[in-house]
Amino acid sequence: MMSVWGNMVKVRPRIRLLIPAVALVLLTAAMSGLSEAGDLTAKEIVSRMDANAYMASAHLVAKLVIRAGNREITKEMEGWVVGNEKAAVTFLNPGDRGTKYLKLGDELWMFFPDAEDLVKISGHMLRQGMMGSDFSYQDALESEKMGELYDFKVAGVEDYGGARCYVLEATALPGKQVSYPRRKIWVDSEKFVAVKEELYAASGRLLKVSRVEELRQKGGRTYASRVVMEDKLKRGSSTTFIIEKIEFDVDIPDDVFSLRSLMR
Amino acid sequence: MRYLLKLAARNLWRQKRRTFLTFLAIAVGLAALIEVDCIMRGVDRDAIDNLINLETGDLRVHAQGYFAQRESLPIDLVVEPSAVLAALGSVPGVKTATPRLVFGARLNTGWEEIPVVGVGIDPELDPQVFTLAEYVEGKWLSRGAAEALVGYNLAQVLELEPGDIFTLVTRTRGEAFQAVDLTVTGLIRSPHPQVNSGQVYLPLDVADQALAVGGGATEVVLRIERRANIDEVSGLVRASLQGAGIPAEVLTWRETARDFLAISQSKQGFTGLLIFMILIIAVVGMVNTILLGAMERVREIGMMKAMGMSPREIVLLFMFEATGIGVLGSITGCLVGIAGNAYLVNHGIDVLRAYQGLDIGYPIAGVLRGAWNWPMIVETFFLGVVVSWVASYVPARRVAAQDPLVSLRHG
Repeated sequence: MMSVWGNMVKVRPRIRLLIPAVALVLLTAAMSGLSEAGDLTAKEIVSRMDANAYMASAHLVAKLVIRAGNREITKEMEGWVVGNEKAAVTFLNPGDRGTKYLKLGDELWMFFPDAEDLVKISGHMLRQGMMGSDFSYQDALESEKMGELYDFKVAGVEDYGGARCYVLEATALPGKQVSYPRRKIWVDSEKFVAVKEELYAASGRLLKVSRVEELRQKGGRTYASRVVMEDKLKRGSSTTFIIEKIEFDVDIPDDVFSLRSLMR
Repeated sequence: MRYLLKLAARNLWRQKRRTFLTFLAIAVGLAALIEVDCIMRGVDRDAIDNLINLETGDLRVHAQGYFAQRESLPIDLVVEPSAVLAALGSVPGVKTATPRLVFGARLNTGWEEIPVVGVGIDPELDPQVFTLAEYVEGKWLSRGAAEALVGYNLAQVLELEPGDIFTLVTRTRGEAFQAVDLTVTGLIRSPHPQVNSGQVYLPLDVADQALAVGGGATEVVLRIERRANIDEVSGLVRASLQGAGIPAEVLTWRETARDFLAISQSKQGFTGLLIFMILIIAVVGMVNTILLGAMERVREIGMMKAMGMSPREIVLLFMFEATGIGVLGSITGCLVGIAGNAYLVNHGIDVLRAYQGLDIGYPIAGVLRGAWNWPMIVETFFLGVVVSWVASYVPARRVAAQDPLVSLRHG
């Protein structure tokens, strides 16, 4: 039974999107009805995860709770996502009201209302935390290509959060440029949702851990509504992403994803 | 003529207060001129020394296109140090060279994270080109050891001390996140503020392994025998690298420090303006004092003319008096200036201590020291004399041209 788990396989891209979609991505939304957890290969597990994660479009209202030591900052946002190419986010809390992000393919843009300045996030900035959170810009950008960048293997089966989970190990394919050369993902064996993920540096040092704290059902889907990302290099640093309201498969005008709308 | 000289000397002695005021205006103006020039010259000299000794070296070899992208600290544009060093071996004028790997990173202590510039250095070759080792408080680096030297101000902010361990978070050449634990072996308290406040030095081989650069260096920095020959040597280095088939760009410190030189140039403009203003104040002071003196002596001049002195003799008398004050004031101003210079050159002024953490974009920190500029001191002396002499001419002519009767009545 375990012999097939060691197989190294390539998987198709997993859907990972901008901040409001990060939770959906890091954890994936699971469709009910795919719960027969037999002995699966890594390829099959990741395929099911990818299938569950895919959504044509979504509109959501969410919160970002950033903790650094004793400080806690809450940011509110509204986001629109189409496939894995387009995402737009507008911040609503008083301190950041009007700050917007737009993801178009591999490009990420940010608009600062106070400075009325449009900035393309690139280079060094990609390494920084989005809005001071523990999610880096790169986290939001790179992951959609994950299936092309990593080899997966099943490392074992463990109980996590009361569910039986497959433990997947992802190792970067030779020559591929990735932020995290190694990842370890715990996938719920019934819902095919990633409920925990460990992200490692090239040296093997654990950098970040994401955990799902809450799963919800909507329109035949199971989605992660509360995700915590911990920066393991900074004591007491974590960011909780909470989806308060979400609608799947909604019609979103193309205009929402234009640079012009970003500056409006 | 001799009579006029004697009379001028006697007049100066008689009118002690007036003489002293004019003399003071000249002496103070000229001393200030010498001091400002001394400190500005010293600051420039030290800034250039710091820049060359701690940042740029005399000459640098980069991979093609690196310099244009230097702000983003790319680690994919590297040269192979062994090949460059081999090609430089036979170039006349090159004293020594060392490779460096410069990269962007974040210094993480577990509770704080600050962006820094990481610099991989060869612990044995680097001190032959840079003076960094002279400013290390603690232990110098060893090849292959997971150790680091941290700028003093940076260490203060993060409360780091020798023996502490921190994590350097960066990206490999393949853009993967990297986290390396390093032990602080020493702190750097250098005269270059950017080194003190934003840089972390680690052994080149450790940096190379962490960044997966594959033995490359972002720069090979050269120390040359005579800086005056820098253009000639850079031409030879360029030719030698071309001959060895190494595609690289060779830049002198002037080219790499373009930004600093632009600041320095604008500062020179400001210095010139400052000196000009001091000069104007000194000249106006002198003219004013001489003019007032002449107006005060209208009656005396009328009397001298009535006794048969010609206007020319009166002008000469005034000019001799002014020149006498000019000579005395210039001597005193220069002596005070020299004494002040001696203090500034030997002790300096510690005006930057309170602002050590402040990066003003100028590579200088700690004590501001002056520099001697003897030609300037000599010029200042003659300036004082000539200005006094010239400044006295106009009022002297004016009073000398007046009718003696009018002068006597007016007085």
